Amino acid sequence: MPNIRVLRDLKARRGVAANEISRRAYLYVARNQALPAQVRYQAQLQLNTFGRYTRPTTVKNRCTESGRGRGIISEFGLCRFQFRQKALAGELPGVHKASW
Amino acid sequence: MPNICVCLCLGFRLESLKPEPERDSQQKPPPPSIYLVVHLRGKMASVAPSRLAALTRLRCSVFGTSYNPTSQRTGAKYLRRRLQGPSMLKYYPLEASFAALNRANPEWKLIDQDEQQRLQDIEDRKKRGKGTPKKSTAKGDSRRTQRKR
Repeated sequence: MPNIRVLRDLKARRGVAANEISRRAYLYVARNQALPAQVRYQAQLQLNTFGRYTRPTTVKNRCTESGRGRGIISEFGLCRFQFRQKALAGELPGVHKASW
Repeated sequence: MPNICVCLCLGFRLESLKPEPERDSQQKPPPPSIYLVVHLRGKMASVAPSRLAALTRLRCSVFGTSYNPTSQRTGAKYLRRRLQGPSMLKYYPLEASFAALNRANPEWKLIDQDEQQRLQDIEDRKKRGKGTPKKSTAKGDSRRTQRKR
């Protein structure tokens, strides 16, 4: 069972995916200097009406195993501790403890 | 294409590569040298800005780029960027759960043992008077506001 932070992150991911195209369209209008200022302003107002969890910046890659937000090794999507445990257990192909 | 060859040479003078001689602190450093060399049918001449603009416009039409001499922001980058949503949805691996299966197939009614146990535990705690406290309806009755600082 994922923890509440992972659930919130999932919510953000779904929101971003659902609203991405319309947000891009509004962004295009709002940032286009060739368009009249009134139109751009209206587009910016529309952008502001989107919810918090429709912005891609609210999405955070968390540990897929434990839900931890810090110390994520992005190649595996795991936090450092889960990475260590899985690597020592041999569950990550091609990863083994260095020794020399 | 007009018979114009524009050759833009950006470079520093060779002197600047040598170690600099001792200078007075008051003395200004020499200006950076940028050479714009324009060959017009063999003779050196200054080119009117309108001619250079025409050249740029022509170059844009030849190479299929948009002519934007004032570097106006067109917002094209928001349309050009790939969509992030589909890959964002794929980050967490899919987990099978009883609740999701029941939601997808309403006629199934699978029983999740762990969930049943959790609900049973909550009931048992309530019977012993150890359930979660009631939420207050009035703002002043809230336990958070009564808490001593």
